[in-house]
Amino acid sequence: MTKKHAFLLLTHAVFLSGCVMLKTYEARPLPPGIETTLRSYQAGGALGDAIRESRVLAEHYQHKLAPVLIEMHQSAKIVGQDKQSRLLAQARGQTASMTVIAGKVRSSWLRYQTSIAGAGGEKAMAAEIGLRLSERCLSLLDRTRRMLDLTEGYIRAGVEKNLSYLSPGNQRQFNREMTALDAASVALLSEYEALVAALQNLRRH
Amino acid sequence: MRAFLFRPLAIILSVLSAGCAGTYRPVDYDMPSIPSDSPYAVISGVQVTAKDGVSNQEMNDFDVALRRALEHRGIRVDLFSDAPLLNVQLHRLHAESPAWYAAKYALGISIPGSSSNAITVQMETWRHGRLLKRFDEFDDYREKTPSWDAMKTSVSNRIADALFYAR
Repeated sequence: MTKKHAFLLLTHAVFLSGCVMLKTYEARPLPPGIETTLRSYQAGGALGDAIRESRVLAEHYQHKLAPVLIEMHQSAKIVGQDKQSRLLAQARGQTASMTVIAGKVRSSWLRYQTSIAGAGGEKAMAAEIGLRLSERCLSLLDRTRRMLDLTEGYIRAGVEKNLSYLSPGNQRQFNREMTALDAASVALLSEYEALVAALQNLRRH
Repeated sequence: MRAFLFRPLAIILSVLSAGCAGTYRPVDYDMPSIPSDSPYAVISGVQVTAKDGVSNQEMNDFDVALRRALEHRGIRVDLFSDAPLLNVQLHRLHAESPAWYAAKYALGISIPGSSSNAITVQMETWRHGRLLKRFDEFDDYREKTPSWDAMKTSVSNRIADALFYAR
């Protein structure tokens, strides 16, 4: 066996086993009770709109985007390009529609902020948290999009046998994006907890 | 003895990997329209420039693909508005020669890690002659695929997505 044969065998073996050290995290679900608290909160006017939009956002994340991301994480080890491509398309569609909802959340909290202009205390605090929530959600979705693009690169490389894509640089970038994505989702969930706490404060006063 | 063992193994592995070789076809998905309060819901134009290695025909092809991707996401191009201008610079690193492509196609196999099209992109938005934002995610981005058609679609989709999600 010459060196050439050894190299050929090795490259084939790498492809067939798919041994690239990619680190993926499971999407984090919302803490229990957040949705029900948001649903049970009775308010009218701009605040009611803002809370309803925030609840729609939470439900979209919990029931539409997170399940797809969890399934992607679980099927990452399986060599089945068809399934992965389908999940990828689903995740992209859900991410895009969640971006539109997050934009609505942002504008509804902005409306609430202008409607309480001058008022301080709990109301201003709630508006501030709501705006921060929408910003964090938008940055989480941007991160998700980048992660999905890199994932598509790996699926494509597997289909087209493009060994040059499996470089350490791409691997580092993927792992870096994935860690940042996990941190961004933790930030979003903690912001939701803060929002619920702020709303309960508002109800008490 | 070794050759006796390794040759069949190499043949089997080659057949296995050639059997599932092909061109990646992305699944289509629905894209909602960009919210109107998004900073790039309207842009005042698309400028595609090339550094080197890109022919005029390829630049035009890319321009068309990019406009189609923007349209798919509901991003409007209004020449007479005060909106930002999108500037995309292409830098072709390597183009596959037609002869090599024909040879590969005739053999019906895909050779791992073989030559293909490679590209780097620089994406910026400008307003009134001033740089607004430089999308640094494209800095260390290298797209490499066997077909130029597939590549221009996926790169223009990525650029349009960057605008869609930008804040």
